[in-house]
Amino acid sequence: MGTNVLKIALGASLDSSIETSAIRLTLGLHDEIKKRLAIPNREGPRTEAFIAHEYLEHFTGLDHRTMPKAAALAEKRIGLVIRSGDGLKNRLMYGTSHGQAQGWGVDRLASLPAIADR
Amino acid sequence: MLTDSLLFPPLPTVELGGAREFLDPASDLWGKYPPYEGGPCGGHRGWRLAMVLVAMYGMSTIETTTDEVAGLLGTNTSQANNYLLALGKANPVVKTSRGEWTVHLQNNDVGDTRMEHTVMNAAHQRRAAWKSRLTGNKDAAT
Repeated sequence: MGTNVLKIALGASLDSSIETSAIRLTLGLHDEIKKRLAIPNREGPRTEAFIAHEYLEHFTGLDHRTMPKAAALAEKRIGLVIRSGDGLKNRLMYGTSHGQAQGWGVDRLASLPAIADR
Repeated sequence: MLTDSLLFPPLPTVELGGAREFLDPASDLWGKYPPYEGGPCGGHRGWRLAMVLVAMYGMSTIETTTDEVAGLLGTNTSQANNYLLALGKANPVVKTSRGEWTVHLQNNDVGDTRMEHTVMNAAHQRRAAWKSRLTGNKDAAT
């Protein structure tokens, strides 16, 4: 799983239209989310993990002013995290099937000869 | 319905080695200093360039040019130069001749003495320069 997230982040890094902060946020949260997913809830294994915004700075090294934009970009372009809110606080939810992931998709990777040849 | 493999096409097989730890923005080292100042890759720009180079070539010694880096990052050559210099803060990056660079990506242990010295020296220089501007004492900047 770790390698997959790393590879997703590496793939996203090749698209210059995806900001670095969004990639850092996705990769930086991975270990913490993995730990939380490993703790089952009453219904069985967890499929989502929530991290409150106040902890994001610690886990990612991004400052609080950068965070909202980075989270929005990560949600839209990379897709492993999505934002949700319950009216009291915003949270990040970790999943695997969200986001557009178009900017750095098949076309982008195929257009790079060094990658296509490997 | 799009599958994960379609959404996230696999990268070519590259030797990632210790890339996970090397690139981890949540490591103690990233958290210890403001994001634009330190980290195993020399800050935000260095980290992005390291990501791109690892994606393309894996953890290795890479010979590249400013133009190539500019193409990979989607920047102009001046900005690419800055990215290379940022990466060079924490990794051996040698400019061999005009526009040619050799980059050796390596893991830096958290708390690496050399890295801490680099960061602390930079912080010291900024503080000294600021003090110099405030006091008008040019000697304070040295």
